[in-house]
Amino acid sequence: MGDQPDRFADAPEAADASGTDDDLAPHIRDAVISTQLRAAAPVESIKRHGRRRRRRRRLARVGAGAAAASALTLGALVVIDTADENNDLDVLAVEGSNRTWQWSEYDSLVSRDGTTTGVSVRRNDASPDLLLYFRPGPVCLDAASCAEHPASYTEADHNADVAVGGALNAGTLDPESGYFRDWTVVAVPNATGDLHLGRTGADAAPDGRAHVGSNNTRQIIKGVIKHAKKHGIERIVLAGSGSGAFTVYRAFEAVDESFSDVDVIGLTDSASFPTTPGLPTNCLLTQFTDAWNLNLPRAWSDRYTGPLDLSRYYEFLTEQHPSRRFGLITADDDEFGRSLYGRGLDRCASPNQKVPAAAWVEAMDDASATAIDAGWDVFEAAGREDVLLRDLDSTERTDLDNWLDELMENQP
Amino acid sequence: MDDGFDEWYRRERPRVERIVLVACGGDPDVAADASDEAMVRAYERWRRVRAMDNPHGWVTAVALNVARRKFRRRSHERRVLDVASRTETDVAADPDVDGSVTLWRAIAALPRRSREVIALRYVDGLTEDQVAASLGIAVGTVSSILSRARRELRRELEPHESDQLSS
Repeated sequence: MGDQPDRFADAPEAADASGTDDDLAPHIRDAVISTQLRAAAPVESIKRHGRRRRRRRRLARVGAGAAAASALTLGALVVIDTADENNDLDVLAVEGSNRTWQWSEYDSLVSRDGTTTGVSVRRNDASPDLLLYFRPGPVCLDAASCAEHPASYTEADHNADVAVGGALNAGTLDPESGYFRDWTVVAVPNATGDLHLGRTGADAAPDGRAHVGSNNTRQIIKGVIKHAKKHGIERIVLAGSGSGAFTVYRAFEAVDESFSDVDVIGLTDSASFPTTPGLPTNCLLTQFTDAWNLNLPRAWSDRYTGPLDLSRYYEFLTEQHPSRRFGLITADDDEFGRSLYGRGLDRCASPNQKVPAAAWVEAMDDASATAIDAGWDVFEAAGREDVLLRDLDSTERTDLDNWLDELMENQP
Repeated sequence: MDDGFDEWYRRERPRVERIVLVACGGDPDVAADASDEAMVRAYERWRRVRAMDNPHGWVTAVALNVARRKFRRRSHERRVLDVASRTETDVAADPDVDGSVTLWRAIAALPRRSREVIALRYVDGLTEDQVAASLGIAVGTVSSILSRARRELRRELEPHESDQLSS
């Protein structure tokens, strides 16, 4: 897009709509021209404000650097289990881990195979910002898909993920260049294969193993809620990619109610709800219930009756939480989404379908428009899923970092 | 030292303000505040902004984001009602001979992103492709939003349509 001349600069007649295909344009233009605008601020005033902010930003950076330098850097494995009688986990209480990834394992967090698991934590003691990130990964909905889901997540998996080039050092989590490099990050692994939301006993689960994602998620979120203030957290982004993004939709309410004096932003990546007929399939919705015992918030059933339309989740969240901000990231080439939503497209007995690529792009356009109408900020990536974990090759002003910057209102 | 900011500011500030004016549903205060804020941010990062392919696009995107938050904070619904009641008063005092009061009311009632698309398409004169790039959304989404917005505006403007839209 090239820089364009100001068509209003000289004469109103010069303001055409460059080939717009209807006759609304001149009327809108005339209404704009006839509106009394406020006098522009003197350029010196603008510059003075800009200089002042630059100075403040420099000072803030110096302060953060000094705090980081003075912190302990033990770098050792930290195993903490601070569960109290309410079973909330203080996942931010990782000692000596400033700006380095640490593995925190808890007896009460359980993988799909029944072994204990934990969370990956990268603290920045100087930051008031927390990214609570539910990680993506394969789902365990039936025998075939369960066979592909790693049944556990252990310290060894964590170590691989935090090694150079590992999944937790990529994209927006990159410690050098990622958008969240200066934030405290808590990354919850996909250890249960149930969108972090399953609530079924072993007898009901597809492969005879209980789905306990909901219990894990509840403990983590409760812990963050309870202990965030103590750790100086003022802003929280509750985010997830792929299967982890569904967690955000469902779990946002629990966080929001308790964080009334903390800025909480919901961010879902690669998990959209289009209004496209047939998506998600009834087959998939049935499996959600049968395999994982997924449910909807009570406020949902108070508000909506009739056939289930998950695309209402956008307006549901903005109307339930009008003071909060929400962001949606969609991906045109989302293999996870196409596979998940394609389950049972032809018949439920043959679930391994994918939504055709063209239909998927259309469905994402539709989801974006629906979310935008509901007041969400939307970023559409022309590429693969799990956008937050990818290095997007983009230098446009609408690149992911700029978009996130505006979403977070991350201004000095 | 002349780094080009002054001239750019004088050229861009009114242009951005008019785009935001439509995007925020006709509130001149929000438009002016958002434009000023965007210009401060541009100056703050002027070396980087100046080197961009399209500084105008950047500052417009920033202004729209700022306006969005200002609008949201002051309560979108109340704002829309304010605009509506103000225009009702205006209607009583001064007949809406050119349909602009009705038009502002109709624009204010559109969803936020629809107003932004309308502003970039009709005020800034961007193509649908350019609007999509500017807002970071797909062309198909822009077309879909534009189509809905046109339908809404035409419905609201119905009483004026024969006088205003067929000229």
